[in-house]
Amino acid sequence: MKVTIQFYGAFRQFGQDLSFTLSSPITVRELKSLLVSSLGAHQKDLIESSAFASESSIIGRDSLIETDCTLSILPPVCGG
Amino acid sequence: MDILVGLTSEPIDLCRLVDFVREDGHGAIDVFIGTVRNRHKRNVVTGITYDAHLELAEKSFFDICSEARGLWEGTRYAVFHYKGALPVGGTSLVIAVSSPHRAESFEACRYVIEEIKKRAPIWKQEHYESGQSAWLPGHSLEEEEVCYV
Repeated sequence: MKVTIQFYGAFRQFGQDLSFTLSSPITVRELKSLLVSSLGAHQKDLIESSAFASESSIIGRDSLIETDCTLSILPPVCGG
Repeated sequence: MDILVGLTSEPIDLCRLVDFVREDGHGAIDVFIGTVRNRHKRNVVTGITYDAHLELAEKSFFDICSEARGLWEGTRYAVFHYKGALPVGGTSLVIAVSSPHRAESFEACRYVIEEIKKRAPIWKQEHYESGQSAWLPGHSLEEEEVCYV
């Protein structure tokens, strides 16, 4: 399955998005580890403090991703 | 409808938002305007670029205003946030709240801005006189893990 992560905020330095092709379901927690491997260990704190979201809501760390999807990674927010 | 929210890459129309919340039975309109200031800590700021997840940010504005409406009955809300680059002095956010009497609109407006800062998926990249830029830290939207002992 293909999981695409859309980048926002500080993640924009890495482009618009990043895709992974996976052979089995994965939790958000595991996806974060995958992202650390791809973006570098120095991004670990940012990735760990960021939330993942579907099109309509934030999803928890233990949520299971089982099908092709596009998610967003949301760094700590500071609007206003 | 008592709530109008959105994000825009055009200058925010303050009069439109004020007119939206205006109502004959309301004697008060409170307005918060967020602007880009020229200093942050020891840095001279020349501008800010705002990034946002448009759908989730708009949803967060609506949810926050709905909550506020539940806390302060009868109030009306209009909230717009800018997305894109702004110079110093630029308007990043306008919140307009109306109520029959002034206390509720002051309190509700404060509630809305404080919640937006904690919950809306919006990010600021500050640009400095030195030529450097930095994404500002903020509030994590990640759910806190509960540990049972």
